[in-house]
Amino acid sequence: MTSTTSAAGASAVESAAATPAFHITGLEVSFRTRERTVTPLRGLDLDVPRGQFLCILGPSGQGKSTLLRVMAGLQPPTAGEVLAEGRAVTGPDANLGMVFQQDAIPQWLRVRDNVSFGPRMRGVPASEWGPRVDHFIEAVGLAGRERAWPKELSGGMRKRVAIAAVFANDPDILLMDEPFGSLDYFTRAALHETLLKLWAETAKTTVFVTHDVDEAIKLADRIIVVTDGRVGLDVSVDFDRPRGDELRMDPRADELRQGLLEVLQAPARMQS
Amino acid sequence: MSATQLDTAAVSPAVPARTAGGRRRLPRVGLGWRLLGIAVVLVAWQLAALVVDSRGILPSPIEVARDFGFSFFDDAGLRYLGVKTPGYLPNLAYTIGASALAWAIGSVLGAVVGLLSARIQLFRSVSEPLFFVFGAVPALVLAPFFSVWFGQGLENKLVLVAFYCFVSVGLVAQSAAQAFPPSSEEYAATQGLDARARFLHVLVPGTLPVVLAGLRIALATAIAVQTTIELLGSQFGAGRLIALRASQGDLSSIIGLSLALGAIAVALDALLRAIIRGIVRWQ
Repeated sequence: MTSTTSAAGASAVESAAATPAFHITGLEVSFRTRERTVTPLRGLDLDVPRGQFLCILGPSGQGKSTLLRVMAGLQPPTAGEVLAEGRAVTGPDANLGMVFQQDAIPQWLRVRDNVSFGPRMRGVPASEWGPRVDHFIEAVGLAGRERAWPKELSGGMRKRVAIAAVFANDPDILLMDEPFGSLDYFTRAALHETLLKLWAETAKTTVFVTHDVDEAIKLADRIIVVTDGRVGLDVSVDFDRPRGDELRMDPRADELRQGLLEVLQAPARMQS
Repeated sequence: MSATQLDTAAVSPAVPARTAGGRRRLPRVGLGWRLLGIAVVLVAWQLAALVVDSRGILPSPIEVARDFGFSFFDDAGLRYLGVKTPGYLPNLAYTIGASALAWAIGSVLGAVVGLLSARIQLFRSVSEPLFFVFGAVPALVLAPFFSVWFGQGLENKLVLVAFYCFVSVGLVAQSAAQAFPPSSEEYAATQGLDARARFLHVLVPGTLPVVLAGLRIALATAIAVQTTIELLGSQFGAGRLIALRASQGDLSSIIGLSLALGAIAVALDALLRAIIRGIVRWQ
């Protein structure tokens, strides 16, 4: 009896480990505007293994942010199936943490209250979230600024608050929609380091939308390019980590960059 | 160099040259300049009164101040006219007290309904006729209806003033909620907050600065509507005294009472602004 139970338990654990973080099949999303119907995603299939750092690249208007919003449960699909950790995504969920492109953190909360926002609001005991919140505030380099208001922080520091908050809420999946798009080069580089450090520490599945090829090569295990509503290109990125500026001189990285740019420029050429 | 040091320097909270919207802020005018402005107006008024030389057409500021002081606590003339509290002070206190009570009730209801109407269709369907149809009708037109429905006492004035505050704050709250960035509520949803928690912990605090600014407009509205309906018929209040003095042709008392109401409104607005600054110190 005991051996049967433990065998069943082991099988369940193996099954859970084998379940991808995301399993998306036949995804279609349509919007109806006043003049016409827009279909940014049509028949998209995608599997994202657990723990992977996936970057979604794509030209503007090709549906990469729409795909991320569907994965976050913020946009219902018109057709198809989206499973996160084996369960259908029916709406936003604390297990699908998201960092937005624009400043979305509550401006009326101080840094520490912002970072603890999710667990506090969900009624998680303070004894549970307190140490985690302190750890992530420290990890993103905001120790000593716990009492600061967001308006007193720079754009990069506010982004650090958002990153700390999403990690402190402890989702299994982290979704990031061009989070560093508006930041300068040095701030972005520092935030890349912070994000990769936390990703390595927590092993969370991360889906990161960007339009910057170099950012994708620096961060990702795998890059997909969304073109014409589907996955137009799917490549693994197996360069050693940490990846510094020397990657710019690497012939293999250059070849990958050229290949990605070729696919990214194709829709623009077609439009012109 | 630490990662934090690499970030752009923190924005100083000290008096920004431009607001977030990119508009240039007007420089603050010191108290001295304001007092100088008042003094200039008073001197010009005094000179104009000397030129006109008719108390019935334009009493001087000195005459207005003297008459106001004379009737401040008690006035035999008012007592003779049947005023139960024949002094300016108790009547001003009545007007301001009733306005403040109606303002508080109407504003709270307006804020709640305005925010809900931006998120729940049922509330929008019910509140929009009140906001846009009845809210556009002048108080002088609605006052007789409220007298019939709620009697001649304090209740009808409370309800009428509260209604105008409700409309004023409700419209501001509804607009604030409609303009509130969706990404803030989406962020809260991805943090695990349900619709109720998002309303209470995101929408309410996020729109608070705009709603509180709406309270300032509503306070001025409350005093103006309260005084107006007292003019139409009331046992007490500054409006009642203004109506009596108008029937006597006593321009000095009318100006004195009007200026007193204005001064109290300015003082209450300054107090409210200070309270608002304390509440939204994160801005």
